[in-house]
Amino acid sequence: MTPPDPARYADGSLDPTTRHAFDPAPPTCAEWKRVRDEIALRVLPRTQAAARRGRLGAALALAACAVFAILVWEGKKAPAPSNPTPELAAAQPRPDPLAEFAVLPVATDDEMRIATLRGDWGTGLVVGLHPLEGELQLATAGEVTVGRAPVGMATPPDFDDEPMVIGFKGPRTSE
Amino acid sequence: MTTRRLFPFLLALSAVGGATRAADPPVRVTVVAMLASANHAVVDPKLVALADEVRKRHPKLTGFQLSAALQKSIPVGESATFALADGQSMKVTINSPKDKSGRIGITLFPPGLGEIQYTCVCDKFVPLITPHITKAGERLVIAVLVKPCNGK
Repeated sequence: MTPPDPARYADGSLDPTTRHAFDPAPPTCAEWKRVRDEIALRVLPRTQAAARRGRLGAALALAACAVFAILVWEGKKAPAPSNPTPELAAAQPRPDPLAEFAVLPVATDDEMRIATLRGDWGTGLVVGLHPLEGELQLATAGEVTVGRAPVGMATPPDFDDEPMVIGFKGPRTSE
Repeated sequence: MTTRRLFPFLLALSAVGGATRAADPPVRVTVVAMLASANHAVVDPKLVALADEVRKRHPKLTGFQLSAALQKSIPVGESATFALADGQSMKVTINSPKDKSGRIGITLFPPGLGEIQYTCVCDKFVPLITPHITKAGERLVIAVLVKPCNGK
């Protein structure tokens, strides 16, 4: 049987008998079932994954809400901070450094040895002897003997009468 | 060559010195700030002995009130600053640990006085009269006590 002209088949000018002879066969029940199975295989997994994602998102949102609610609740309870602020620490009573003393004991002159004083002390010292306390006592002739003076130092000619050592600021030239 | 030979010896010597210094216990320094006045005669009971000593130099100072009592533990060779009354402060340096005669070496930089370096027995206060006068006309007096932190 010669196939009809497709143009005539398309425009419906064929007679019905010839047209039905070339009509495609309708899908069988088995073919419909295969199509439905393929649809189910391709579409349902996506739907299930979307459902799983939705459930996971809902669970996360619920957890976040729970955490937020707990934080708000704990904040309302105002727990004591683990590290107290300086203001709070300062408010706590400190041990008294003077608790062991009924009267503060004062050192005597013998118990304090001054090594160095710099600046104007005036009457600032209460105990202890000033290194230059009283009149300076100068050594007298015969109390000092110079063994050797380094370069830049010398003794005056009248050293025996007024013992002193003279230092020169610059390098001394040989005389 | 000589330097190379001496280097290990010097290194060992410095290590021994460092170990000795590290073994020294820190020194507990107590600083008392007082305000002395010629306008009243009220003396804090704890300051009776200090007031008597200060009055030997400044007879006009009749009233003594405790302003601050501070305590810090300072390692030997290190310094700390104490905040005194009326915005003044004082740096304290521990120079040497307790020696055989029971004295500790200390350097003070009290306000307006310069520097003093001394050794003193433990558990005794050394008073210093500063030139600082408050707006109320009170003179700042300081007393310093040193003591090894192990209490010995």
